[in-house]
Amino acid sequence: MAIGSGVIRGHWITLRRFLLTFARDVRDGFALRRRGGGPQPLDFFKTPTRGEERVVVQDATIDGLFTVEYPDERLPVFERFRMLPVLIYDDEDGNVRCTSCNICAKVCPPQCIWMVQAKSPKGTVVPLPEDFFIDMDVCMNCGLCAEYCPFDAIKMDQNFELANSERHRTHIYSLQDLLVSSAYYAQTHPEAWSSPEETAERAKVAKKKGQRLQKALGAGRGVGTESAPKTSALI
Amino acid sequence: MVSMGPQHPSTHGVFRMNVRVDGETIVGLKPVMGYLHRNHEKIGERNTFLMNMPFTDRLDYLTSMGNNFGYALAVEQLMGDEAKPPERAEYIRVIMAELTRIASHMWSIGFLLNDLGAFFTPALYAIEERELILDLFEWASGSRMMCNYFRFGGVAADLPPGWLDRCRAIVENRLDKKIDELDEYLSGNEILLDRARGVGVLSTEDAINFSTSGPVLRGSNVPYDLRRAAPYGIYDRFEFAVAVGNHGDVYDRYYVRLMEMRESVRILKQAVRGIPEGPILAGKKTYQIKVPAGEAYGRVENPKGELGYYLVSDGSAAAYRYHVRSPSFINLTALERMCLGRTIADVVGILGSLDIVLGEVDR
Ligand code: SF4
Ligand code: SF4
Repeated sequence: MAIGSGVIRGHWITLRRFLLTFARDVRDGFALRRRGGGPQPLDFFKTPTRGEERVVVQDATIDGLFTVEYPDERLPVFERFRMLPVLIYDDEDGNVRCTSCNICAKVCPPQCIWMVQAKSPKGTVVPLPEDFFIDMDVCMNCGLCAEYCPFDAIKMDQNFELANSERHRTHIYSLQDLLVSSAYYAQTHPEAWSSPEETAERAKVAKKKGQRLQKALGAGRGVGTESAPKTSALI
Repeated sequence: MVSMGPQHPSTHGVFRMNVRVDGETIVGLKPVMGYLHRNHEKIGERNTFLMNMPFTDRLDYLTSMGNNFGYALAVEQLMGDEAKPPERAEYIRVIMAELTRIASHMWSIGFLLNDLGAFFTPALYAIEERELILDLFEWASGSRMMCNYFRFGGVAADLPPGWLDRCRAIVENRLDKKIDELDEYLSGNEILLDRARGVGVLSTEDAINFSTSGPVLRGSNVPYDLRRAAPYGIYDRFEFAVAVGNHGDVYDRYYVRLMEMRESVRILKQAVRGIPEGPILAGKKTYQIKVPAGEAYGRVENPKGELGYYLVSDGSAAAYRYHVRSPSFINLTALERMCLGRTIADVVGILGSLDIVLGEVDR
């Protein structure tokens, strides 16, 4: 084996990258502190407070070696980024949007959604879920449920920090665990929230809402977060 | 007789080799495919056509956009004109497929060097560019690797505002330079030449007879590329060359991938310049997809070779028969021929030059 100009050229590229990394850090003001560190110069051992981590954007201009010092630094979360599904209730009246139509369960590829439809005391069907389950360990985060829900009720959440030490109790999400407010969704998905399609959809659903609410109340139970009974039978 | 491997964490249980050795020399090699217990093809017959789309992501999990593409083509063949994607969708599909090719080849080259013992610098350099591409995927489709982005007759969602600008910046100003750098960094490196030239040779004849495809076939001097041989989508509109190697060795397979990345950048430049405005899906968005009875074979030139989906539909909601022709699996059949007469130390590098992903080897 001969070490020739090819190897030397290769080392030159490595050295250039190495130097570029320092040049970039100096340029960005990280010459004297840790990139994922606290706000002061010389904050080598501090970590930023939760929620105030530096967001590192990697675009076409980034140079040197790029590393993101997670969890003290983060990549931006794109709006469409999808992790697990959530069910939305509207802030104004606390109504769950879901009508328990079962379409999401039908399109879910690994079949990890199942629900109990609400019934009035007379036994007639109420368009609300009595309970709603998703087995989060089976969910493949595909987003089909959110894509095809006709009532804009199920959406994909962006929270990916879900580490847990137990599966059977904590990873079967019930209605209680799945509900999030429309304000939360508007905040995580500003583009979608203000899009013409979703605005129109909201207006359409709002019309039906009074009706649904009355029906549900007529059935002898409230709506929204508090009213859903905690089910333990399936856990 | 030595049971070799698994030498990568992702191959445990799925792949190892029974090697017959005479001293250090390989005199026989039998790939042992195990099981991932995923049952992709059988599940594809239970799932409705749409539900199967996210499952295809998981075949070769480094090229999910390409996998989606092939499956969409197969179902669209059955659905006929009703599912003809609009122009914009066709462009988006090509952009995504070519970005996938670059990402996959980057990964492959990085890890080939890793397999050859260059821990880990080349891989890191290659992964950087792949990261930028995965960012684009995540931005448009919601996921970095399990994109689930194609729909029958188009794509799931339009490109978000700003996406094309960043894609353009990466394609026009960055990738060429980075591929050049990788070329300069590796192609003339004497250690790499020593380990790759004349190693793992697959003759033109053998490459064809083992029905290999992708860079493995083209490395053996067969200019066969589905994008040219049987153009799908709108590939017939783009100018690009089919890269081939002359010797069919590890080095040629590596170099073909490098050249293919340049060609992909060429296609991407044309595509991001020419992409029109307009709808991204034919017809209305629905989960109740009517697929008429019949059979179809949809195929694409995926980064690893020809990926084909054979579908038989009886007119019901799910496929009657579903089979995947996966390039990784078929390219592996030529492994013994490449390894005979070489030493144990070469086997890992030769395997690396095949660029397999085990999700495809066992379905
Ligand atoms: S979440 Fe949507 S699709 Fe699922 S049952 Fe409720 S309304 Fe129907
Ligand atoms: S994201 Fe996909 S797998 Fe998960 S619940 Fe929704 S449809 Fe099912």
